[in-house]
Parts: sequence; C-alpha cells; structure tokens
Amino acid sequence: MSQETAEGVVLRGVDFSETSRIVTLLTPNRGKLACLAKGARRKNSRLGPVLDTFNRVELIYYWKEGRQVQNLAEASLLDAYTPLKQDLERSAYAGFPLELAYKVAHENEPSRVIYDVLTQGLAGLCAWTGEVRAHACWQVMRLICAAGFAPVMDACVHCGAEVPASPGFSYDGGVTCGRCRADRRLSPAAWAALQALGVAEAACPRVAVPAEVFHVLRFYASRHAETEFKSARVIEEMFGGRWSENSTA
Amino acid sequence: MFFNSPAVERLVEAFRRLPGVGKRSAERLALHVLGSPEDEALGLSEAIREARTRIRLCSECCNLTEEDPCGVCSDGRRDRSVVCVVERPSGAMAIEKGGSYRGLYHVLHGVLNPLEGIGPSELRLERLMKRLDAGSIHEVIVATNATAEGEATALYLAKLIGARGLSVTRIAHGVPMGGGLEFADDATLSHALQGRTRL
Repeated sequence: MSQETAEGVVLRGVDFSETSRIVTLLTPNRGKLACLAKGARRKNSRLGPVLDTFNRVELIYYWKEGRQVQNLAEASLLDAYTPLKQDLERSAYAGFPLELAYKVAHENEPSRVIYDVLTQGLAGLCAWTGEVRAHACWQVMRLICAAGFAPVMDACVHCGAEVPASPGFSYDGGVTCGRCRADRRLSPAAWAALQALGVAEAACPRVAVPAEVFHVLRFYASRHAETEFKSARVIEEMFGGRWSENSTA
Repeated sequence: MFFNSPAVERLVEAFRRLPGVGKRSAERLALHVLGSPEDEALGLSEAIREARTRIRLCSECCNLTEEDPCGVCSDGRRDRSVVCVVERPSGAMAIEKGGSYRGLYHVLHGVLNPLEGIGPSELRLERLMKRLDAGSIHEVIVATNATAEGEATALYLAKLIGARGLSVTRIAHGVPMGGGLEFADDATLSHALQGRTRL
C-alpha cells in the first residue's frame, strides 16, 4: 500500500454508513477513482464540503492494487466552480459532460485528455456569457472526441460521398449523404452548429446551437457509451428542447 | 454463509438492503436475530410491519406521519404564513429539534440530481405549488443541503415560487456555532463570507 497524491474532479458520491461517503473522482493518471472518505458526513468534517459534486480537488489516498475503493486520507479544494453552482441552467447542463466523463473513463487507466477537457469545460462554463446549451454541446463534443468516438463529419460515414446542406445523421458514426441510411435528418442550422462545434478545440464558438444538436449528441453518446444519459433526460425535462425522432428539419 | 438455508439467506439479503449494511454485517445481524428469544425476534418484525403499514405521507406537507394531516400541519399555534422546504423528513426533524422555527414544513423527498436522473417530476413539488396557490403562505424558506444538488434545487424553487410573487429565502451557510475558523474548510469559509450580515 502506497500513499499517492492526485488532482481530481468529483463525479459523484454516495453515502456509506452513518458517517462516511464514497466519492468517485476523475483523475488524470488513475482515471476513475473511487475513494472512501471516512467521517465525511460528520458535522465538523473538513472533507464533506470539499467532496461536493463538480469540485476540483487535490487528494491524498492510500493506493492498494486490486482494491475497488481506496482510502482517502486528505482532500483540499482547488476549484469549487461556484458560478456554475449558483446558476440553475449551468449546473444542470454541466451534469451531462460530467456523466459522460463518468461513463467513458475507466478505472486505473490514465485519462489525461478526458480530464483536461472536463476541467477546461467546467472552468469555461463558469465564465461563459453565451447560450448555456451551446457550451454544454461543445464540451460534450470534445469529450466524445477525447474518448475516441468522434463522429465523421467531412463526408458520408457510409459511402464517403459529399454531404448536402441538410445531411442525414447516423448514431453509429456521423453524417450521411442523402442516399445512405441515417437515423435522422439534420436541419441546416443543426448541421452548421455541429460543424462549428466539431472544429473548435480551444474554446466554445459563439454560434446558435438548436435543441436538435443537444438531442443528436445525447443519442450519439448513448450509442457509443452503450448507456442512457439520465442527466440529458432531466435537462430536457427542465429546459424543454425535446426533439422528437420523427421531427423533420 | 456456512450453512445452507434459504430462509437465512433471505434474511441476510433483507438486511443487506439496509443502508450501510454490508454482507458481513448482514450475516451478523441475521445470526443475532436467530439467536435472540423468539418473542424478541418476532417483536422486531411486528414493529417493522406496524410502522410500515401505519406510517404514511401527510397529505399537506408530505412528511412522514401516523395521522393525516400530521401534528405540525394540524397545530393551530404554528405560523401558517411560512413554509420551510426540506429534502427529507430528517431535515424537518433536525429543524424541529432546534426549537426556534414555528412555521410549517414541506418535504420534497429528494433533490434535483441530473446525474442520478432525478428531475422536477420526481420531487413532491405539485403539492407544494397547490399549498402556495391556496394563498395563506407568504414566505418559503428553502432549507435544502449546501451541496451542488441542494443548491440547484434551491435555485429551481426560487424560479418557480418567485414567479408567483412570494418571498423565497435560503437558510444561511457558514461556520458552525462553536467552530473555529482555522478548522473550517475553504468552501465553507467562502460561503460564510458571501453570506455575511451587517452588525
């Protein structure tokens, strides 16, 4: 058993016994890391408030190979992303990239790129003055790319042909030409937004992102991560923007 | 388990479903129940059955109660113009123990938690809105926990209730009574500074 220090983002936490909590963090070197924070639920615990969801923390833990939950020794707060937590829309939308990171990162596997995308995205969302949905979609797109399943956007994913102004979209791989099989058709506005989001690496572009794009990314990520995203369903419930599969552009 | 009995296995499994009880604790509890006198063991099961069948949610505040409406909602001496919204019945119990609050309660039975798929429709908000629409309530105190989820729920309630023109307040967060500043964590201190009051 060795003591290790790492930086991490709190992805989720569950109560364990009367006084403790198990938190799952995303770390650059150990990937998804579950830690037991003993006494974190006690009234005077310094750990409890530090281990709130979204928080970026520095943690010291005892690493033991083969153990599913490591023992947390200490944690200190690096960034609480307070502007995000003080805004309902930001905090709700930030749940989707957080859940996506939770689903695509693996335990005990370096996840530097996913970690960087997540932390830069959360920090960016705190300062973002544009449409919150646009920023969330950009961060989700970046996480999808970081996880290794970026959608094909430059040509039809099935036949390689050029794509029209209103292409199809296949959740299996990306855009399609008008002739190949697609799960849905993209409106010109959604296609333009997806293209802008796909190429912007450093910061979220200031483009109008229709609800349709959120919906497309939600189902694309679901198909590749092989799971439903609960946060996306709640976001659509809270802020509308439901997009029926039968809707046409 | 070292002996093969479906009945014991069922008992162990039942204990395992309790919060904070793992396999070993469940086995220990099962063995304790089996080793205790019959009337004591059956008394436990009867107490569980009785509590489960008699306790329900108050039709007014959604708190746990044996009588409907609950003791707080039917108490004529309470201030009926203020409602304190809490996440769980344990929150109402904690405030009630404090002894300084004389208003009514509303229990949400959860908080907004998109990561766990808990949205507004999973909370007991409809009943709260009906109470507010009845017209006698002037202030809603949001006493959800000081977590990201609790904060999101408070913001959602502020938006929902604020649209009705009612006063929505949030309980203060910060340094606990009797607590030293040097023992407070960064997040708590930051909240305490933000919520400072004029002397």
